Amino acid sequence: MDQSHQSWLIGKETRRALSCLQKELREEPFSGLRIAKETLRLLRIVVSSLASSGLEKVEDAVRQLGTELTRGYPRRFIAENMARRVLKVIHEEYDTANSTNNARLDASELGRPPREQVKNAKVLKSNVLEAISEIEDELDAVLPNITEQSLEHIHSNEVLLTFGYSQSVEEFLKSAAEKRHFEVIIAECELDYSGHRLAKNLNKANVDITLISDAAVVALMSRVHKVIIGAEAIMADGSVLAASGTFMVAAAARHYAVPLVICAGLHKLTPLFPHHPDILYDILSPSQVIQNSTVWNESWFRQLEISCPRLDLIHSQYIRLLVTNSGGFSPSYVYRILNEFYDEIDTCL
Amino acid sequence: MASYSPSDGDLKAVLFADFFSDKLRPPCTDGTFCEALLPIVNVSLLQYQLEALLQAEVKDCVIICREHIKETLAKFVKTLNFDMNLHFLTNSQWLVAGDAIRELDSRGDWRPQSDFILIFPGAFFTFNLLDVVKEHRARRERSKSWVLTSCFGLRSISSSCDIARLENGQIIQYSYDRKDKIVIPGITTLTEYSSRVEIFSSLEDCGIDICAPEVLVEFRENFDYDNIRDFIRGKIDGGEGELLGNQIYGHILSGSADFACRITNMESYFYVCFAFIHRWSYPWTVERFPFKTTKYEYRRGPKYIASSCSLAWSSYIGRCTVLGENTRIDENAVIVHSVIGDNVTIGPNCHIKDSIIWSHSILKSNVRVVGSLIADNVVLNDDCEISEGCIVDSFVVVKAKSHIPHHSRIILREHPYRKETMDERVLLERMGSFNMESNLFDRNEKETTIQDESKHHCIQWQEETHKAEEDDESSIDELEEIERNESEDIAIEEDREAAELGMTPDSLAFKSSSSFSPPTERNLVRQEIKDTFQRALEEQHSPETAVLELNALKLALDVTSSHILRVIFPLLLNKLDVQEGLTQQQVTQQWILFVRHWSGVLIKFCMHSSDGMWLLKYWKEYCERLPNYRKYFSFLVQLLYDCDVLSEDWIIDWVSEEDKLNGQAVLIQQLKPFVDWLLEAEETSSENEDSISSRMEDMNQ
Repeated sequence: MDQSHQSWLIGKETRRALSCLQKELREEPFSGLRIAKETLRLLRIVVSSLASSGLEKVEDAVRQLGTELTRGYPRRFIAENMARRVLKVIHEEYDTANSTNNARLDASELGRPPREQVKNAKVLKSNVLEAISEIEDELDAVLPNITEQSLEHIHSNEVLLTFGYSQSVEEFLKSAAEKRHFEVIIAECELDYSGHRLAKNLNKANVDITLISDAAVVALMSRVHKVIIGAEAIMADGSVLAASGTFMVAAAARHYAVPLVICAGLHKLTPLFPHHPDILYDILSPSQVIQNSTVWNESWFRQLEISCPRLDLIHSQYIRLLVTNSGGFSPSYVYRILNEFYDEIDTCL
Repeated sequence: MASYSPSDGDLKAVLFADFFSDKLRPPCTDGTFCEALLPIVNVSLLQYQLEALLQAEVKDCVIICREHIKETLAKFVKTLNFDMNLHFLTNSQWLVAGDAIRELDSRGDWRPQSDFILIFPGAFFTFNLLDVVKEHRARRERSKSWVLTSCFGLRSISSSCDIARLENGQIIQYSYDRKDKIVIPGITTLTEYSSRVEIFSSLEDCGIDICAPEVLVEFRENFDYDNIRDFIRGKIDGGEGELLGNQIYGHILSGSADFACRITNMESYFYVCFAFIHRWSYPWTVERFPFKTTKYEYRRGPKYIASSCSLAWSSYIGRCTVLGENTRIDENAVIVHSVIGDNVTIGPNCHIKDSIIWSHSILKSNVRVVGSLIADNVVLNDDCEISEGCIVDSFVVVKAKSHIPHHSRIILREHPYRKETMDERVLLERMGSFNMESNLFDRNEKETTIQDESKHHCIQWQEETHKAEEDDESSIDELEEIERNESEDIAIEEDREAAELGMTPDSLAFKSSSSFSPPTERNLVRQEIKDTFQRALEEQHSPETAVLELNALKLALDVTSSHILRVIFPLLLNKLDVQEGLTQQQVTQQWILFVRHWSGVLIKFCMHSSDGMWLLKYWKEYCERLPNYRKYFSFLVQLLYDCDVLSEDWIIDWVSEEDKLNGQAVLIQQLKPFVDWLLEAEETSSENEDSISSRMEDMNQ
């Protein structure tokens, strides 16, 4: 393990870039797009430095980088997804390079590309780097692509409900507010009170804002026309991971037959299934629940378990529409896009 | 007084690895183990500290410890492979931390020149130190008198202190000991302060300070200062005059993610371990260490179980437990609220509660351990009972059916790794300093309990150990064997690493493959760099991207930046062409645009004067070879100077050298006016920057 680990950690510079990115992953406020871009930057370094020694080495390196990056960081999905997308490009390069050699037959049996030394490594390298640039361009266009759909979904004098803060939701609402007038109810998201930030940012736009506590969501749901929330990750079965508390919103929306719309860029699309909630879930520090710090000295406290999950899983049947940078679609369509973006063998890095 | 500049070099840290106290002995009795290596959920404290410093972008760290543990620490630190310069400052004569600080002050090479982080022994923290440092620097920039920033946690457990501070954060009162209860001597004096006064009681003094170099000077002048807290008290009690001179900022860690405390005794050690399990230190949690270690699986409870554990069906793992790597739990064993280290074997019907067991220990059947600490390589035989508050030192073998009373400390008289034998009297003296309550977290009783000497049993298990060893000799030998093998392995690895590091990459560009086929390898490398840059030129990449890729290549192929320069500069020159139909003006315009665009790349790879000399020489030869470039010779040199690629010293030096060889060369003569101007500019260096470009245009006319 350690040997292979050393093979791609070529220099201190790569490692510094890695630790820099790991710091980004920890930083607040968190931006998925920024992490995606930083990951690609790092992948670019790795690819360009290793390409001369063969693509299979690059593949291993990217794989390890993907796991290394996400080792122990809660917001891991986006970095992993970027590594997967680059891997997919590498596999495609293999296929085109080897199609003449007819070696693809064995490959399909083994489920892995053949391990032959590809001769024209330089062409492959430039192709891979070009593909990385393309992904970067795509990331730049994520927000504009999402916001330009806003007028299709938001109509005049509608009452919308959102939960917590999400960059894409903010932009989505702002762009709609340029043309139409509507009302937004913001649930504050008790975990980090990020709803306050959204309320502050939207204040300048032409929107009526009502800030409510999370508990009031059910009571107000009957007045709402549409629920729009952001997501942490879109899972392979069309379900969505979002800030804890959103499942309650989703359940209330379903009870009152209010459509639930998720706004998220496709860099959040993950080929994983939410089969093991304990692993997907991220339990925060108890200080989010118990403010009083002196409790540690009380003996009753030792008998107490405090659980504070960061994420909720919203199953696909609760979701009416996913609004992404490549258009709006229903959760059942996710599998098609998955095949477009990722290779099956990269699901587990 | 040292002059202060906010961005003077890299951030430094001074870390105390030595506790300068006997509070934690045993288990920290032998020469190969020290307090900094205390495992907190199977990862040593030092590792957390270094990681936290790394995240605060600390580049240099001075580790202070006494002579006898340096070797152990150095070995340990080597295995961690941190991207940080670590130095050890050791001396066997220090008695208190203040001595070490005074020595640090006298060491010119290690003495921090700018503000530095001072980490006290046993500090465990996961908050973002970088923000605190930034705040400190901003304050220092406003007023140089803010010499110290101390961090205080809101959760007090071990080193409780009370402070009073003004609205601007300045500490005006500080009381460390519970004994000097009079926190504010004479409340009336407070009214003298014009602003609001905040009083905080029972804060955790987490032993993290950001100090100015001036603090070291204070230490040199005051020989009675034992540690940094004496400095704070000295400042505050010293009277108004000194108070005005230097201000101390009290940073209260009030955020939800701010976790910091200090391990000073067993109680706080247990506290930190279990707080860590309870995820108070989020985002650092057991299953999500910031560094490579065992992979733990989180289960509700919270329970953390390493994937390589083997658990019997009938065993019961209760809440708040951690099971380390390769640990085996046998039938009907019950483990509640405990930390079990790596490679521990727990026999059938064992009952473990509120305890911490370090690695490689063996618990045979039907053993009961409650509220105790079991160190490394301990063997507890059948039907043992360890009562609350016991500490069993490493390599102890407890014989079967023995019952260890409350608050006992068990150590070996002759430790396998400890050189001197422990004297009973010395040991008893040390025992006196222990105070471990039966209820580890219940502090309420503490004040009413009278410390009873008889409570501390010191048991020397000499005879019994021998008896027990007769049946268990094999197991112990085995353990030691493993240990030795491991250490040997590490040593071998280290040697290899050292050998690799010993080679100088600069002198040998291709160190690994040079022996095989240098010429072809060299060409390949050249070709690779060339291709990369050629592609960047043709596809109009941004210079930043090109630099990124070239840097990656530099690391991958293990070449120096001069090598890259020697490949890319000719490529750039090829791009600079003199077209027939264009006037000189148009050509220069094109060149300016092109060179300006790519100057970022050249700056990155043209770092030393030798590179600059080479560049000038190459350009001269290039011009000599191609006559129609000649008239641009001086122009490009000036352009490169204008783009900060070439420094004026290099140009002046090069020209003077060339002059010596051949004073009449046409090209050198062409450069003369520019060099004269440079020399002139150097004398009146305050001249306006804009004049350079205008000057250049003048000369071109």
